[in-house]
Amino acid sequence: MSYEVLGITVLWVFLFGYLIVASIDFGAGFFSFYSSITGKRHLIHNIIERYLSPVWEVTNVFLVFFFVGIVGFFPDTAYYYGTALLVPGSIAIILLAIRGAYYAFNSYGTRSKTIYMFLYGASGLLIPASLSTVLTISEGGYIEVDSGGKVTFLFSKLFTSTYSWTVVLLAIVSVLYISAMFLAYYADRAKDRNAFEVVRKYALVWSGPTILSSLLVFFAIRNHNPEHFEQMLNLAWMFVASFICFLIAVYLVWSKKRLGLSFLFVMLQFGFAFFGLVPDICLMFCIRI
Amino acid sequence: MLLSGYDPVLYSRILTSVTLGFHIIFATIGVGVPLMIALAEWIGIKRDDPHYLLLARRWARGFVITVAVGVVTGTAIGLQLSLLWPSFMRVAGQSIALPLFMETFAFFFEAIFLGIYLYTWDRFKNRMVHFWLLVPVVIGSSASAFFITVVNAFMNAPAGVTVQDGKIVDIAPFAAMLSPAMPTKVTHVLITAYLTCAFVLAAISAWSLLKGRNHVYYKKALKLTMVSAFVFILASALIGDLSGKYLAKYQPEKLAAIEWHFETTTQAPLVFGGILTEDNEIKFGLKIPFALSILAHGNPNAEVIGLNDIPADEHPPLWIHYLFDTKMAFVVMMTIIATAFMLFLWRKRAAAYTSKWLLRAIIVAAPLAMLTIEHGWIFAEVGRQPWILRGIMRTSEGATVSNHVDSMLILFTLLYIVLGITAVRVLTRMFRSNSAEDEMADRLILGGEDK
Amino acid sequence: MTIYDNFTSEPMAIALISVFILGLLLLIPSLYLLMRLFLFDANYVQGKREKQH
Repeated sequence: MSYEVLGITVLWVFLFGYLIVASIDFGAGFFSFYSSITGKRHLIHNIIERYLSPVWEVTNVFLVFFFVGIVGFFPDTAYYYGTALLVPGSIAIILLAIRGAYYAFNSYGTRSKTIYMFLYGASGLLIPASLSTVLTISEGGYIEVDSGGKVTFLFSKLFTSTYSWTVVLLAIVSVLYISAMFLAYYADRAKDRNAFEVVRKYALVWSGPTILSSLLVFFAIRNHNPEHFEQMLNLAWMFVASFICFLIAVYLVWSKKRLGLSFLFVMLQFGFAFFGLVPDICLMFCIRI
Repeated sequence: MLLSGYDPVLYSRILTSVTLGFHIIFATIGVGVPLMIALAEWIGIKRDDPHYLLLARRWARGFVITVAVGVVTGTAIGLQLSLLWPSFMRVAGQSIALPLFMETFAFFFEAIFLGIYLYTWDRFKNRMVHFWLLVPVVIGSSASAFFITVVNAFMNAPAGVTVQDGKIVDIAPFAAMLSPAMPTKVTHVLITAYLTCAFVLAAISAWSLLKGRNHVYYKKALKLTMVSAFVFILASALIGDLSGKYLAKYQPEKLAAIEWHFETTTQAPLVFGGILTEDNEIKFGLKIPFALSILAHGNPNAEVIGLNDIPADEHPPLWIHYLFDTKMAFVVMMTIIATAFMLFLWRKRAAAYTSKWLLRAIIVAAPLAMLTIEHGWIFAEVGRQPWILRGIMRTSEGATVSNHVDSMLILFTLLYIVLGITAVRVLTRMFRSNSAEDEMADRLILGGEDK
Repeated sequence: MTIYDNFTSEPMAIALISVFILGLLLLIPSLYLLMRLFLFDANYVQGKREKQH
């Protein structure tokens, strides 16, 4: 294995790790807020808090790892992204900061405040949306380098592209799906029947939209970047495997059986889909310009 | 671009300083407080003293809030470096990425064990198990500071790289970590972080004692923190001296700019305060003969390089003289306060905890310590100008060319104001609503009233 | 551009990958401990241990 491939594997593994743990975290924050406005907070609050409290900081580290890794392994890529992404990157930082800090204020401070909960619940959905634009950009077409070497980011093009919006949609829906699937498993372990019923419903509700928005992204990639779409077709088996994992995971939650195994299949579902995109190894580390 | 005369380099510098200036408060607490918690818990277990254990518990509870702000602002500066200084980070990625990468591991290690530590009080029969869970936190947080300072040391005195036509060609990643600035810088940063935290925690105890809450719990806290502060201030004085010798050898322009030293001479004097006239003459300053030669080389007759021997476009800004002098004045005040406490403790034990003036002075020492950290950093960074990577890349070449740095500056400033205010409010509410006395009653900790 | 154009120098790549492997040797046991204490500890998950910070 060449160093390049090894380096990129390291980064992808960490990004995948972040995708899973951050989704659980972001989704849980949203559910916590949502349940408090629908009056169900007392049912699910405990399991969410018991899981999140010791691990939220660890989640953040996965992200730091990923971007420090890019700087180290792919300094030129870091340069292009750094120049192009000042505004979206800064907004993502601010959202992350608000989320992390208000989570701590809310759960370690003496009083829990609705405004704190709103801030961290809402930012939990906006962050995946803003981070997912990095993936969109890596598909190419949104960064321009002129002959003088000046790098510009084509905002309006990103905002008007169907592809970018389908990715945003997929990001938000997947976060809710992954998180609900995990919480179902956790509630089951905690033998908390009431909480389990609530989060199981969330999980089943969000499973359909997850598959629908994945399909949308497929079609959007075909239009946006046919070359990449061709490469993905060569790896069609990975996406089929991903779909089968999805079916198993949802079936297990639906029939309330083997929930640990179910979450393992959720991870496999996203693992297959995620690494099915990688063979276009260029993605993300060599921005198409 | 909100303003006319927009200069991305200037705004990038301001935004970086604002972020760092805010982050460094929480980073310092993050590095030093775990050590103090560990000391308190260890003494508590060894002497079987519930007061020290409660101290560790309460410090840890407040610490989580500051850690949260430290983590999010640390993530912010980490990403901001790539966003505001892309060209610099490209070169840094090629040459000094290794310690940055190591830092994330140290941070990861710390984060995992902090999570475990906070939620496992009373979970183990053997209390030392819980103490040992804190050790990785202490190591991880200090290692984080170590690795980040290694990067900064490289910026001051690049090593392990060969430069050809302004491009780095040959790289030895481990040699880059061992730059000449590394030993003094790293120890200085670590020791002063410990020192500052000792003073901050001492001020909290002093505040309670001053308010007339004279439970022995506060006295034990004050003694532990002030004795630690005294030890750390001695250590930092020693390292400060070594830093001067480092500067004289590797960054003479920085030392010369601090001391407004223009002519290369032997028996050079140290200047405190004063103003500089247009033809570079010093007026009203306090001159200490031979002192600069001693600081630079440990010998009153040694030669110290002056600014006139350095190309004019490589002179650091001369106002760092005031930064340095202010910092030194703070250091002197802190030394006096720590020494006074030790003298009281030695001679008039009771007065050490009751003297209103001493307690007030200790409360003042905490912000002084934090300000010294801030002054030290600004002075270290401004003193490196015009370089971002000394001798390789100028600051103006490292910055972004983006058009929106000024708007980002406003957004981030607002963010820090909001975070700062909420953190302080959450902390004060946390300790007001649950005083140490109430908690001792709850936990059935006896003894020590009005001793 | 491909990853091969953007990749860092060989010594840096070797150093980073070695540190990564050493780091994992440190982190995996720690993560395992974290999960054992909070995710797979039936008493903790069921809230039978009081919140103790």
